[in-house]
Formats: sequence, C-alpha cells, structure tokens
Amino acid sequence: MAIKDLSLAAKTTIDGFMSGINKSTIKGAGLEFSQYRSYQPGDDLRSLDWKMFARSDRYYIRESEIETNISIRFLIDASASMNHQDGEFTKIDYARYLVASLAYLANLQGDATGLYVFKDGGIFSMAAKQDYQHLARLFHQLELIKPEGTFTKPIHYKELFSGAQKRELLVFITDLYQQNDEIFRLLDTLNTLKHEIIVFHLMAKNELELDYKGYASFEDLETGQTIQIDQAAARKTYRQQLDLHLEQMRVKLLDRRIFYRMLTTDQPLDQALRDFLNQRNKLRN
Amino acid sequence: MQFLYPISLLALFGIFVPLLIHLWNIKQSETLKIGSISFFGETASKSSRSFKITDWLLLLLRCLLILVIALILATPYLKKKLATLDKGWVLVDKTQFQNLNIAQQNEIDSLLKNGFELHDFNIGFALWQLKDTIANQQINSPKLSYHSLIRQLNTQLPTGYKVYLYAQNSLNRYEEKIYNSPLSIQFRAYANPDSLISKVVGAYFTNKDSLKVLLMNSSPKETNYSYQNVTNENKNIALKIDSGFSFLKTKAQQNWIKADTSTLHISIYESKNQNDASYLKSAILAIRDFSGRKISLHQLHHPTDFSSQITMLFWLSDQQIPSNIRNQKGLILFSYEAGKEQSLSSVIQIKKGAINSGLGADLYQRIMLSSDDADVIWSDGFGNGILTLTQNEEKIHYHFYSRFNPKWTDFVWSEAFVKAMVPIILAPRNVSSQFGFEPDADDKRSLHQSEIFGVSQPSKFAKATIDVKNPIGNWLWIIAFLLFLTERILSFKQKNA
Repeated sequence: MAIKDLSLAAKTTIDGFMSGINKSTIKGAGLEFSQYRSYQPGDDLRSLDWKMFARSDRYYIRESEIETNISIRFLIDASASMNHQDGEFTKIDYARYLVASLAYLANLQGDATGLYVFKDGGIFSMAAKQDYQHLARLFHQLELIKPEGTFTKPIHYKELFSGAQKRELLVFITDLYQQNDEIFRLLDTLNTLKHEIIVFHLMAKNELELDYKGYASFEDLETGQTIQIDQAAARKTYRQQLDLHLEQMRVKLLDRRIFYRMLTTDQPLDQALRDFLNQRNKLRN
Repeated sequence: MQFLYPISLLALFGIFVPLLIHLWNIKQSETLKIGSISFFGETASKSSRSFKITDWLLLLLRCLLILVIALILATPYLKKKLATLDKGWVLVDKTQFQNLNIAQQNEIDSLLKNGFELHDFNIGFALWQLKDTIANQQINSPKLSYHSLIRQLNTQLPTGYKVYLYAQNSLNRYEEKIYNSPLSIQFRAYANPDSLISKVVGAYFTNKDSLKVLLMNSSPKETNYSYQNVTNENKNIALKIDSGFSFLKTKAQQNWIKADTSTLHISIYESKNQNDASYLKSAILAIRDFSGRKISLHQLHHPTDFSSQITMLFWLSDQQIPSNIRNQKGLILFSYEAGKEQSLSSVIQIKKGAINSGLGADLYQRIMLSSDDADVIWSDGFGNGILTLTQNEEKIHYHFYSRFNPKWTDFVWSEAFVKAMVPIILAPRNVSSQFGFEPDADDKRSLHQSEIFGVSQPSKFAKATIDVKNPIGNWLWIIAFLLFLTERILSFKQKNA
C-alpha cells in the first residue's frame, strides 16, 4: 500500500508537471532526424536512405541524434537529522517523495535509476537499471528508509564505486548536517569520478525561521546534545549563523562545480524537477 | 487604610496562581528534537534558563489584579479624622423638619454656616442638606427608639463632640432611664403640633344607672384620669345611642367608646374562713362604692351551688377546687393555695405599677411556692410570688400563697389592700401588663433635657477623636478594571506577536 502511495504521488506529480513541457519521448529515442550527409565508402549500408536515393540518384546517409540513456543515481542521506519535523512532515518524507517523483520522471525518460541510501551502518545500494519493475523496487526501498545514527563512514563507500565507469547523474538529497565534513569529502570523491552531481539541500521552514512554537528546550537529533534557549532572544544570532552556513554550503558546492539547490520542505517539487531536467540535459549533450 | 473584612486578605494567596503559571510555562517545555542546534550559538546556556520568568509585565499585572480583587473583598476604608473643637453635628429627623419653629430653623442655619454638619437623626445618621427637605418629607424609614439611636451616636462620635439634637421630648418616646452620653449634646425639643388632648378611655353604667366616663387629659406637664358623670350639662362629651348601646367620645376624639352595661357577679366561697371573707367583702364593697360599677356580691355556701352566671369566684378555702369550677370557661378564679406553711418576717410587695413597696404590709406566714412558671403579681420581700397569675384565653386564675388573715399578714388592715384589689376586680385581664396603668399612645407628657440626659458635665476628653469610615472600594473597582483591560491587551498582543 505504501508503495502504491509513493508511486501514485510520483505519477500524479510528474504527469501534472510534464504536461506541456516535455518533447515527447514516446516516439522513441534515436529516431529524431538530425541531418543527411553524402555516403562515404565504409558507411553502414543500413543507414543509407533508399528513398532519397530513389529521388535524387545519390547516396545519402540519414543521421539521427544519438539516443542517450543516462544512468541516474539517487543518494539519500539517512542520518538521524533527516528526522527533523515541520508540521506533519519530516525531511525524510520529503526526500522520499522527491526521489520517487524524480525516479518516475527518469524512468519515463528512459533513464536507468539507482538508489543509494547512506545509513548509519553502511550504504544500501541498488544498481541503476531501466525497468518498470525496478522502479517499483525502488519505491519499496524508499519506503523502508529509516533515518538513524550518523552519516555513513567512508569505509563503506566502496559500493559507490562499483558499476560502469560511465558518467552518471548523481542526485544527492541531504540536509548537509555533518560532523567532520564527511559529506563534502564524499562529494569530492564523486566529483573526481566526473559524475554530474545535483545537491538538493533540504531545509524545514521552522528551521529557517526558528519558529518552534512553545518550545524552549531542544535536542540535536544526531549528537543528542540538549540546549535550552529563548527563541525570541536567540532568533537574531540564529538567523545570522544560519545564513552564514547556507552561504558557505552554496559557495563550497559551487566551487566544486556541483549544482546546489536548497529546498524548503513546504515547497512543491517543481523547482527540483526543473533543476533535475536541466542537469540531465547537460549530461546528455 | 483599614479593612472591614481583613480575613478576605487570605485571597492574596491567589497570587501564587499567576506565579506558578508563569514558572510552569517555562518549565513544562519538552525537548524538541531538531536537525541541528549548532546555530543557536554558545551564548544560551542551559542553567540560566530554568527559573527565569519572561513576561515580567504580564506577571506583575496579573499579581496586581489578584491583589486588588483581594482588597476589594476586604472592603478597605480610609479613616477620616473629625475635628472636635468648634465644629459638630446638627441632628434632625428629616421627616420632622417642618415641625421645627422659626427660631429653631434659624439656629440650624447659623450653625450650618459655622461649619456644622446636618445629619439625619435616624439609622446611619446620613448627611443631608436643607435643600433636600422638601423631597424627603415623604420617606417613611423604620424608626429606632431614641435610646438606641443615641447609643449608636455614642459609638460614632468622639467624646465631647458637639451635637445639637432636635427631637421630640414626649415621654413615651423615652425609656425610663437617663441616657448616658459622653457627647456634649444640646437638646432642642420641638413641640408637637397638638400638645393637649382630652379623650374618653372608658365608659360604663353605674349601679345607679347613670353613665360614667373615664376621661384622660394629657398635656406636656401631666396626664391625669378622671371620672365624670355624663349629664346634659357637660358639653365636651358627645353621646350616641346605636342599637341599644351607648357610645361616647370627646369632641376632639376620633373613635367612639362603647359604654359597659354588664354587671360583675362576684362570689366568695369562705368555707371555715369567715374571718378572711369579711375582709375581702368589705374591700370589694369599698371598690364598688368608689367606682360605682355594677357589682353583685354573693356568698357561695357550697361548691355545688356554683352557677355559670358567676364571673368571679374567690375560693377562700384549703379544699380542692372541684373540677367543674376549675374548668368553667370565662371564670376568673382567685384561690388560696394549699401547701407547706412557712413562717417568715417579710413584707408583701405590690410588684408592678404605681403602688410601690411603700404601701406594702408585713407578712408573717406564707405557703411555699409550688410552681415558678406563673406571673408574679404580688411578691414577698424576697421576690417570691405571693399572688401569681396563670391565664389563657378561657380563664384567669390567681393563686394566693398566703391568707387574708391578720395572723398571716397585716395586708388586710392596710390601705394598700383595697388599692391592690382594684385592678384584680375591675380589670382582671390587664393586671399582668401594667397592673391597671397602661401607657396611652396619646400621652403628651414631655421631658426636659436634664431628665433625658442627666445633668451634662463638660468632658475632659474633648479632644479625643474617632474616625469616620470612608470606603474606597469604588476606586479599587476602577483600578481592577483598568488592570484587567491592560492585561488582556498585553497578552493578546503577545499571542499575536
């Protein structure tokens, strides 16, 4: 049931989003006409356009755009801090929804999708495949994610490096809360593999505005530290520090030529989808 | 500032409520788990938060509100000091103001100009103005006796305080005692509009069938009663005959008095005490001759001769009274009581009324008093009843605990015997109230200040002051309302902020 929920949500979101945007992929990849060029010896006769030959008595090779199936990997931060809640939604809920939608979209585009969940004890990985059943499995795995503990230790990263040595689109969904810069080290590693990376930075609205109604005592989900503050009094410093942090993150990622987008968990997915499509096109060209 | 109900200040414990709410408001905050606390900075430390109260202003307002409510409950008042030297009060019964004569009204005017305050001589002694007079004439407030009003006045005003009291001086407004007041009271009597009265209080046919009236004449100086034969000559008495009865009144009198035509049938059962009976007979006959009332005197030789026509029976015997006589309705019974005889050396005192102990007689022997619950009419020198009375609606029974005999008492020899018998014979039903001398509502006798207040002496404590209560509850209500309003506005703003 849960799977259906997610797939349904993804389907409705994407269908609603795509209508009018997408050049139809249903005609089939590689069928798009690009140009004619004259036949040169050695060319595959299969691509000779016989109708043109009949009309013009010359040999033309019909060239079409190369069909590009890219492979997309979704990386999800499943550390405890993803349990941050704003209203009814936790960050991980939003992440699930986002990944489900993107995966559905990717599947629709004919791309292979893979899932990597950064859990406390290791990485759950699902190699990229272009398959409808694979999508269902992916949804199922999304449902199973349970954020806890800290970010995965680097020793478990080896699973990431398996697979074809091909440029891939990595969609990394995280709240960018880290203890020792481990997320950036991971990104650096992935960057060196020449992957195209999108980082969706999830922030909750109450987190951004320091609006925890009626609370004065707070516990850090990852470190377990408790602090008691007066929100009204602390708000100013909080904002400053937060803005500084966000700016730092953005700059650091842009320095690494990583696409960065901060998403607020109460926003609709459109922005994320658009960014995703843009990055995908980049990869294809 | 003092309080009428200081116990209400216990409500001040209510201040704990907002205090607790404000403290609890901070302490109850559960821990919220959030993604990161790194942005809060180092400044906010844990310990500095626990018991700190925010919203000091709101807390202050709430505490104040409870304080003020407690004060309102306690009914605070300010004491106003009264200057005692040259100022004072003028006390006049509002409703009686028009009875004051011109000189008295002028005196009040000049007193008020000298700074005196005009107060109503009534419960509470409300301050009033001469202007109010017209408007307040109709008010019919409950009247307290002058005595209790003056007692109340004593508690309100300081010793030696000057009071000009304008009041009636008629005797029947005062009790039979001198009013002690430490105040320096100047008593001003105002005259009653009609100070002389003459009226018929009783009328009857004499044994010679002429009409006789009892006439009361009352003036500020004295009240006297006199019998008068009604003849055609006296013009001041009016006579009316209606359905066989005669009615009489004076010219000024409102109501008609019905003339009594009945005959009093008195019987004496003497048994062995002929001696006793002879004293009694002569007393009764003297009373008959003096009053001219129709009295028929018989002797009852044997209890079986008793007839229901007899209205009064003297049972001068130690024998038991037969039950048919004892239960006869409407009979007035005067009986010797049997019991243990006791020798003593005392006097008979006619307890009530004008015949006082000066007219008493020696008492040598008596019967021990058998019951205490009867009204004492005559008593011995120790206050024990000699003649007691039990009466209900149907019958009147006098119990005599001695004998009409010179061996027992000198009473039968004395002049007081006849006088003491008069009310028993003529007005047996009213004996216990005033023993024949009832105060009349129209008694016009008046008193002088010295008779009411005694000879006033200048007080040595003239400068002592007492305080007049000045309640300030109204201000507190306003303050409470303002506090409540501010508190609401403030908390509303805070909620929206």
